[in-house]
Amino acid sequence: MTARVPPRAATWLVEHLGPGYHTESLVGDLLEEYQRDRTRAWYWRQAISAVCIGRAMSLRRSLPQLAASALLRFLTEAAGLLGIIALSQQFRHACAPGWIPDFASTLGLLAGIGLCVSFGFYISLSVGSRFRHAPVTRRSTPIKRLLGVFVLTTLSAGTLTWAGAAPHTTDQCILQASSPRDSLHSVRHDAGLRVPAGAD
Amino acid sequence: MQWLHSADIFIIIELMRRREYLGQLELMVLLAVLRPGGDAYGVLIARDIADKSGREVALASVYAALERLERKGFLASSLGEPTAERGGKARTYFKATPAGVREAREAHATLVRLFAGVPALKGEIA
Repeated sequence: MTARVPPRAATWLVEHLGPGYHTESLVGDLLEEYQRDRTRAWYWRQAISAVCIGRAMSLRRSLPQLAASALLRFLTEAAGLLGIIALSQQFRHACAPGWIPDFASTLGLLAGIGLCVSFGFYISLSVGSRFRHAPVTRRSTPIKRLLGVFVLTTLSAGTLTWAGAAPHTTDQCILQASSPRDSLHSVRHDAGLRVPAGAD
Repeated sequence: MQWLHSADIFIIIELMRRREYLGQLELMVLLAVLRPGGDAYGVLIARDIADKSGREVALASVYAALERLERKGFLASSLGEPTAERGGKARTYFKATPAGVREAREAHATLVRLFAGVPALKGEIA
Protein backbone atom coordinates (compact mmCIF):
# COMPACT_ATOMS: atom_id res chain seq x y z
CA MET A 1 0.00 0.00 0.00
CA THR A 2 1.41 3.37 -0.97
CA ALA A 3 1.06 6.40 1.29
CA ARG A 4 -1.11 9.23 0.01
CA VAL A 5 0.68 12.50 -0.47
CA PRO A 6 -1.09 15.52 1.07
CA PRO A 7 -1.11 18.93 -0.66
CA ARG A 8 2.41 20.31 -0.33
CA ALA A 9 1.33 23.94 -0.23
CA ALA A 10 -0.97 23.25 2.72
CA THR A 11 1.83 21.50 4.59
CA TRP A 12 4.17 24.43 3.86
CA LEU A 13 1.57 26.85 5.26
CA VAL A 14 1.24 24.87 8.48
CA GLU A 15 5.02 24.62 8.86
CA HIS A 16 5.69 28.31 8.28
CA LEU A 17 2.57 30.13 9.47
CA GLY A 18 1.07 27.67 11.95
CA PRO A 19 0.92 27.97 15.75
CA GLY A 20 4.67 27.31 16.08
CA TYR A 21 4.12 24.95 19.00
CA HIS A 22 5.31 21.38 18.28
CA THR A 23 4.94 22.11 14.56
CA GLU A 24 6.57 18.84 13.54
CA SER A 25 4.07 16.86 15.61
CA LEU A 26 1.13 18.86 14.24
CA VAL A 27 2.23 18.16 10.65
CA GLY A 28 2.77 14.48 11.53
CA ASP A 29 -0.69 14.29 13.11
CA LEU A 30 -2.28 15.85 10.01
CA LEU A 31 -0.45 13.36 7.80
CA GLU A 32 -1.46 10.44 10.03
CA GLU A 33 -5.10 11.50 9.93
CA TYR A 34 -4.92 12.12 6.16
CA GLN A 35 -3.87 8.50 5.65
CA ARG A 36 -7.19 7.43 7.21
CA ASP A 37 -9.19 8.30 4.08
CA ARG A 38 -9.49 11.99 4.83
CA THR A 39 -10.12 14.21 1.81
CA ARG A 40 -7.86 16.92 0.40
CA ALA A 41 -10.53 19.46 1.35
CA TRP A 42 -10.29 18.29 4.97
CA TYR A 43 -6.51 18.72 4.83
CA TRP A 44 -6.82 22.23 3.43
CA ARG A 45 -9.42 23.16 6.05
CA GLN A 46 -7.09 21.98 8.81
CA ALA A 47 -4.17 23.90 7.28
CA ILE A 48 -6.13 27.14 6.96
CA SER A 49 -7.44 26.90 10.52
CA ALA A 50 -3.85 26.23 11.69
CA VAL A 51 -2.68 29.40 9.94
CA CYS A 52 -5.53 31.48 11.42
CA ILE A 53 -4.92 30.13 14.93
CA GLY A 54 -1.16 30.58 14.56
CA ARG A 55 -1.47 34.20 13.44
CA ALA A 56 -3.97 34.99 16.20
CA MET A 57 -1.69 33.44 18.83
CA SER A 58 1.32 35.30 17.52
CA LEU A 59 -0.57 38.61 17.46
CA ARG A 60 -1.92 38.15 20.99
CA ARG A 61 1.55 37.28 22.24
CA SER A 62 3.33 40.22 20.65
CA LEU A 63 0.66 42.93 20.65
CA PRO A 64 1.91 44.88 23.71
CA GLN A 65 5.50 44.85 22.45
CA LEU A 66 4.47 45.83 18.92
CA ALA A 67 2.39 48.69 20.30
CA ALA A 68 5.34 49.89 22.41
CA SER A 69 7.62 49.64 19.38
CA ALA A 70 5.20 51.62 17.20
CA LEU A 71 4.82 54.32 19.87
CA LEU A 72 8.58 54.61 20.26
CA ARG A 73 9.00 54.87 16.49
CA PHE A 74 6.32 57.56 16.30
CA LEU A 75 7.96 59.58 19.09
CA THR A 76 11.36 59.23 17.41
CA GLU A 77 9.99 60.39 14.07
CA ALA A 78 8.25 63.34 15.72
CA ALA A 79 11.43 64.33 17.56
CA GLY A 80 13.48 64.03 14.36
CA LEU A 81 10.96 66.08 12.41
CA LEU A 82 10.96 68.82 15.06
CA GLY A 83 14.75 68.90 14.95
CA ILE A 84 14.73 69.22 11.17
CA ILE A 85 12.14 72.01 11.32
CA ALA A 86 14.27 73.86 13.89
CA LEU A 87 17.34 73.47 11.71
CA SER A 88 15.55 74.69 8.60
CA GLN A 89 14.32 77.72 10.58
CA GLN A 90 17.95 78.45 11.43
CA PHE A 91 18.80 78.31 7.73
CA ARG A 92 15.94 80.65 6.88
CA HIS A 93 17.66 83.31 8.99
CA ALA A 94 20.98 82.57 7.37
CA CYS A 95 20.84 85.74 5.31
CA ALA A 96 19.87 88.00 8.20
CA PRO A 97 22.49 90.64 8.94
CA GLY A 98 25.22 89.46 11.26
CA TRP A 99 24.47 85.78 10.90
CA ILE A 100 27.05 83.78 9.06
CA PRO A 101 26.20 80.09 8.54
CA ASP A 102 28.60 78.04 10.57
CA PHE A 103 29.39 74.83 8.73
CA ALA A 104 30.73 72.99 11.80
CA SER A 105 27.74 73.75 14.04
CA THR A 106 25.29 72.86 11.26
CA LEU A 107 27.08 69.57 10.72
CA GLY A 108 27.10 68.94 14.46
CA LEU A 109 23.37 69.62 14.72
CA LEU A 110 22.65 67.32 11.77
CA ALA A 111 24.76 64.58 13.30
CA GLY A 112 22.96 65.08 16.63
CA ILE A 113 19.54 64.71 15.00
CA GLY A 114 20.77 61.69 13.05
CA LEU A 115 22.16 60.08 16.17
CA CYS A 116 19.03 60.64 18.27
CA VAL A 117 16.67 59.42 15.55
CA SER A 118 18.93 56.44 14.75
CA PHE A 119 19.07 55.44 18.39
CA GLY A 120 15.29 55.59 18.69
CA PHE A 121 14.82 53.66 15.47
CA TYR A 122 17.40 51.12 16.52
CA ILE A 123 15.65 50.44 19.81
CA SER A 124 12.21 50.24 18.18
CA LEU A 125 13.52 47.93 15.44
CA SER A 126 15.23 45.72 18.00
CA VAL A 127 12.08 45.51 20.09
CA GLY A 128 9.97 44.79 17.01
CA SER A 129 12.23 42.11 15.52
CA ARG A 130 12.74 40.36 18.88
CA PHE A 131 9.03 39.72 19.15
CA ARG A 132 8.50 38.90 15.51
CA HIS A 133 10.73 35.85 16.01
CA ALA A 134 12.83 36.75 12.97
CA PRO A 135 15.41 34.07 12.12
CA VAL A 136 18.88 35.01 13.35
CA THR A 137 20.46 34.45 9.93
CA ARG A 138 18.20 37.05 8.29
CA ARG A 139 18.95 39.72 10.88
CA SER A 140 21.72 42.17 10.13
CA THR A 141 24.23 42.84 12.87
CA PRO A 142 23.30 45.63 15.30
CA ILE A 143 26.23 47.83 14.19
CA LYS A 144 25.30 47.49 10.51
CA ARG A 145 21.66 48.27 11.25
CA LEU A 146 22.57 51.29 13.39
CA LEU A 147 24.96 52.61 10.75
CA GLY A 148 22.42 52.11 7.97
CA VAL A 149 19.70 53.94 9.88
CA PHE A 150 22.16 56.70 10.87
CA VAL A 151 23.29 57.33 7.29
CA LEU A 152 19.72 57.33 5.98
CA THR A 153 18.47 59.66 8.70
CA THR A 154 21.33 62.10 8.38
CA LEU A 155 21.02 62.22 4.60
CA SER A 156 17.27 62.75 4.73
CA ALA A 157 17.64 65.37 7.46
CA GLY A 158 20.22 67.20 5.35
CA THR A 159 18.06 67.05 2.23
CA LEU A 160 14.97 68.28 4.08
CA THR A 161 16.92 71.09 5.70
CA TRP A 162 18.28 72.14 2.35
CA ALA A 163 14.80 72.06 0.85
CA GLY A 164 13.44 74.07 3.79
CA ALA A 165 16.03 76.77 3.25
CA ALA A 166 15.25 77.01 -0.48
CA PRO A 167 13.97 80.65 -0.55
CA HIS A 168 17.47 81.90 0.25
CA THR A 169 19.92 80.58 -2.26
CA THR A 170 23.48 79.82 -1.32
CA ASP A 171 24.80 82.52 -3.64
CA GLN A 172 22.75 85.20 -1.90
CA CYS A 173 24.02 84.09 1.47
CA ILE A 174 27.62 84.07 0.38
CA LEU A 175 27.28 87.47 -1.29
CA GLN A 176 25.65 89.03 1.73
CA ALA A 177 28.01 87.47 4.20
CA SER A 178 31.10 88.30 2.21
CA SER A 179 30.32 92.00 1.91
CA PRO A 180 32.73 93.66 4.45
CA ARG A 181 30.54 96.72 4.89
CA ASP A 182 27.50 94.72 5.84
CA SER A 183 29.33 92.41 8.14
CA LEU A 184 31.12 95.26 9.93
CA HIS A 185 27.87 97.16 10.18
CA SER A 186 25.99 94.21 11.58
CA VAL A 187 28.70 93.26 14.08
CA ARG A 188 28.87 96.80 15.43
CA HIS A 189 25.08 96.99 15.52
CA ASP A 190 24.96 93.75 17.48
CA ALA A 191 27.57 95.04 19.92
CA GLY A 192 25.54 98.21 20.49
CA LEU A 193 28.16 100.51 18.93
CA ARG A 194 27.38 103.41 16.72
CA VAL A 195 29.01 103.32 13.34
CA PRO A 196 30.89 106.59 12.82
CA ALA A 197 30.37 108.43 9.61
CA GLY A 198 33.07 107.69 7.10
CA ALA A 199 34.13 104.48 8.85
CA ASP A 200 33.75 102.64 5.60
CA MET B 1 -15.35 50.84 57.30
CA GLN B 2 -11.96 49.55 56.39
CA TRP B 3 -10.37 50.99 53.27
CA LEU B 4 -8.03 49.15 50.99
CA HIS B 5 -4.43 50.25 50.89
CA SER B 6 -3.00 51.04 47.47
CA ALA B 7 -0.59 48.08 47.83
CA ASP B 8 -3.55 45.70 48.27
CA ILE B 9 -4.69 46.46 44.72
CA PHE B 10 -1.49 44.95 43.32
CA ILE B 11 -1.89 41.85 45.50
CA ILE B 12 -5.47 41.38 44.27
CA ILE B 13 -4.40 41.79 40.64
CA GLU B 14 -1.57 39.31 41.15
CA LEU B 15 -3.95 36.76 42.69
CA MET B 16 -6.44 37.25 39.83
CA ARG B 17 -3.67 36.72 37.32
CA ARG B 18 -2.49 33.56 39.05
CA ARG B 19 -5.97 32.00 39.26
CA GLU B 20 -6.74 31.37 35.60
CA TYR B 21 -9.91 29.46 34.83
CA LEU B 22 -9.92 26.78 32.18
CA GLY B 23 -11.82 27.38 28.97
CA GLN B 24 -14.24 24.74 27.68
CA LEU B 25 -11.84 23.39 25.08
CA GLU B 26 -8.97 23.42 27.56
CA LEU B 27 -11.04 21.41 30.03
CA MET B 28 -12.03 18.91 27.31
CA VAL B 29 -8.39 18.54 26.23
CA LEU B 30 -7.23 18.11 29.83
CA LEU B 31 -9.86 15.42 30.42
CA ALA B 32 -8.90 13.66 27.17
CA VAL B 33 -5.27 13.61 28.31
CA LEU B 34 -6.32 12.26 31.72
CA ARG B 35 -8.31 9.38 30.23
CA PRO B 36 -6.66 5.97 30.67
CA GLY B 37 -5.39 4.07 27.65
CA GLY B 38 -1.79 4.99 27.06
CA ASP B 39 0.00 8.11 26.00
CA ALA B 40 -2.09 10.93 24.66
CA TYR B 41 -1.07 12.81 21.54
CA GLY B 42 -2.75 15.31 19.18
CA VAL B 43 -4.74 12.96 16.93
CA LEU B 44 -5.96 10.76 19.81
CA ILE B 45 -7.08 13.79 21.82
CA ALA B 46 -8.94 15.27 18.83
CA ARG B 47 -10.65 11.92 18.11
CA ASP B 48 -11.64 11.49 21.76
CA ILE B 49 -13.20 14.94 21.89
CA ALA B 50 -15.01 14.34 18.59
CA ASP B 51 -16.36 10.97 19.85
CA LYS B 52 -17.58 12.29 23.18
CA SER B 53 -18.87 15.70 22.15
CA GLY B 54 -20.02 14.90 18.61
CA ARG B 55 -18.14 17.95 17.31
CA GLU B 56 -15.01 17.80 15.24
CA VAL B 57 -12.24 20.09 16.42
CA ALA B 58 -9.36 21.36 14.32
CA LEU B 59 -6.05 19.81 15.24
CA ALA B 60 -4.49 23.25 15.50
CA SER B 61 -7.10 24.23 18.10
CA VAL B 62 -6.18 21.17 20.11
CA TYR B 63 -2.50 22.14 19.91
CA ALA B 64 -3.29 25.72 20.91
CA ALA B 65 -5.16 24.43 23.98
CA LEU B 66 -2.30 22.02 24.73
CA GLU B 67 0.16 24.91 24.63
CA ARG B 68 -1.92 26.98 27.05
CA LEU B 69 -2.29 24.03 29.42
CA GLU B 70 1.43 23.31 29.31
CA ARG B 71 2.22 26.97 29.96
CA LYS B 72 -0.09 26.94 32.99
CA GLY B 73 1.75 23.89 34.28
CA PHE B 74 -1.14 21.44 33.95
CA LEU B 75 0.54 19.28 31.29
CA ALA B 76 4.02 18.02 30.49
CA SER B 77 5.14 16.96 27.01
CA SER B 78 7.74 14.54 25.71
CA LEU B 79 8.87 13.79 22.17
CA GLY B 80 8.47 10.26 20.76
CA GLU B 81 10.25 8.48 17.95
CA PRO B 82 9.63 9.49 14.31
CA THR B 83 7.58 6.96 12.34
CA ALA B 84 7.28 6.28 8.60
CA GLU B 85 3.47 6.52 8.52
CA ARG B 86 3.80 10.10 9.74
CA GLY B 87 6.35 11.05 7.10
CA GLY B 88 9.22 10.80 9.57
CA LYS B 89 7.62 13.23 12.01
CA ALA B 90 7.76 12.46 15.71
CA ARG B 91 4.75 12.40 18.01
CA THR B 92 4.53 14.62 21.06
CA TYR B 93 3.03 12.83 24.03
CA PHE B 94 1.24 14.70 26.80
CA LYS B 95 0.82 13.80 30.43
CA ALA B 96 -1.13 15.62 33.13
CA THR B 97 0.86 16.99 36.04
CA PRO B 98 -0.42 16.79 39.65
CA ALA B 99 -1.49 20.44 39.29
CA GLY B 100 -3.45 19.47 36.16
CA VAL B 101 -5.23 16.63 37.99
CA ARG B 102 -6.07 18.97 40.86
CA GLU B 103 -7.39 21.61 38.44
CA ALA B 104 -9.61 19.05 36.65
CA ARG B 105 -10.97 17.85 39.99
CA GLU B 106 -11.72 21.41 41.11
CA ALA B 107 -13.38 22.25 37.78
CA HIS B 108 -15.55 19.13 38.08
CA ALA B 109 -16.58 19.96 41.65
CA THR B 110 -17.43 23.54 40.67
CA LEU B 111 -19.50 22.42 37.68
CA VAL B 112 -21.38 19.82 39.76
CA ARG B 113 -22.23 22.46 42.37
CA LEU B 114 -23.33 24.91 39.69
CA PHE B 115 -25.47 22.36 37.86
CA ALA B 116 -27.09 21.21 41.11
CA GLY B 117 -28.42 24.69 41.71
CA VAL B 118 -30.33 24.89 38.43
CA PRO B 119 -33.80 23.27 38.65
CA ALA B 120 -34.43 23.63 34.92
CA LEU B 121 -31.56 21.23 34.17
CA LYS B 122 -32.67 18.53 36.63
CA GLY B 123 -33.03 15.10 35.04
CA GLU B 124 -31.99 16.27 31.62
CA ILE B 125 -28.41 15.04 31.78
CA ALA B 126 -28.25 11.32 31.06
